[in-house]
Amino acid sequence: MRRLSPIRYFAAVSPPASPLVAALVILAGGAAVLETVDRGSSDWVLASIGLLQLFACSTGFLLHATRGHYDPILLARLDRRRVAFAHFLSASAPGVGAWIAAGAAQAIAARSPAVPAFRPAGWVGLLLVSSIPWAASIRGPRFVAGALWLTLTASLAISGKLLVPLALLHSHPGWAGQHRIHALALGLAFPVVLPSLDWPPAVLTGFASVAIAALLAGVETVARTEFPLAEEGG
Amino acid sequence: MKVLEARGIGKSYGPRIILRDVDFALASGEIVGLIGPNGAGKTTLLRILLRFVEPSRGRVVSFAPPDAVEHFGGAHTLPPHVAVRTWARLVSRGEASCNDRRPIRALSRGSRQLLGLSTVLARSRLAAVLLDEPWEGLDPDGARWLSETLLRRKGEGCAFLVSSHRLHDLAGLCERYAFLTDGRIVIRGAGEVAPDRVSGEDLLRAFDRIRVPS
Repeated sequence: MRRLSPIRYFAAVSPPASPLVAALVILAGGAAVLETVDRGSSDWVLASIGLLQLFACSTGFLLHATRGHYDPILLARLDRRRVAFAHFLSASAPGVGAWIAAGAAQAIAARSPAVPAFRPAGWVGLLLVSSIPWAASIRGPRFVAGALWLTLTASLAISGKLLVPLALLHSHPGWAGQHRIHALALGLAFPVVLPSLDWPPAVLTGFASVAIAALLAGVETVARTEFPLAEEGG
Repeated sequence: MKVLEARGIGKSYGPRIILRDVDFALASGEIVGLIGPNGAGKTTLLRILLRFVEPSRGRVVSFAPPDAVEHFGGAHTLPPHVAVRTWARLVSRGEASCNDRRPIRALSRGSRQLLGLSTVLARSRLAAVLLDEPWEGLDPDGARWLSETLLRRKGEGCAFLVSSHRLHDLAGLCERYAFLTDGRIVIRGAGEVAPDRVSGEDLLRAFDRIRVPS
């Protein structure tokens, strides 16, 4: 008798929305085409993948669980933390795949692995846009965490609080080292720019800590949450 | 041999008390019918026994081996977008074969109910199965198949806790009946409900006697 694999279960039962996966495939393919035509012209693709990942990882775990869709995997007597982590991996897999494909296209064109996608800032940025929406959406509806984050970013951009410091950071890479908290807030407000800018190790460690803390909080939330059926009203 | 045991289970949602001091044990090779009006807390009790919901008081003890307890909560709990054959293979751990590539939402309610039941009951080496309204939506053939399967699997040592409003289907199948009313559980053996084969009418009368304060 086979054991029920949580990764296999969530890949089948809770796959990311097909339009999102299609858009990620198109972006990864687009990066390959752009890099073939004009080396270094696909940097914006990473930001677009990051934006889509905000939504792909906003899965609404509890919404599915209280409809009974996850009953078999929750009942398989597996560690709930393992189940939660498998759900996160399943939700983030298409975005990670697109990221690696786009990065590989850039690396092949540049004949070097030192491209934005594969630098520490790239990986940390990808972890941020994956773990925070996933954790934030556990108790909420699907896509809402991504939409809220995007709304926050757009509001800050419109109010001028985002673009001026970003321009400053772009022209003076040392600024982030002198204003770490400000730089951390800036990166969290607009995480899709992380791969394209230079960040001091201390600030990158801060981003990674926030991302990992969000992931652990999400896993712990799933481990401690009850799953009554929605119709019970509990 | 006990498979599952609930000791002094209580459950409240805010000021609303759902269950009070429920003591209950399920043993290998028996079918227990769970009977109660809508909103009595049958589904909550099942989900507490499955550890999907934490009791406010008391605890649940499982004596079953890992991954040997199954559950089906009804057609509405199946994910509608998943292909029928994918669901059948996943949940039965590859023990049910099915080549239907349609999404579950394309099936009628009765077919969805049958899919959910047949995939759960296809698994071998089960210690206990908890079913919530399993006859709901089944046609007469499906209902007969379910009753025969429950009896056959019971003979193999599997324990069943079956919540149902369909007293005529439940009658005659169970060794014991658990009546849930006002948050409390009252257990009656089949022999206490009726001296011979229990009928749906016998169950109704037994429930009425329990509901009326003495």
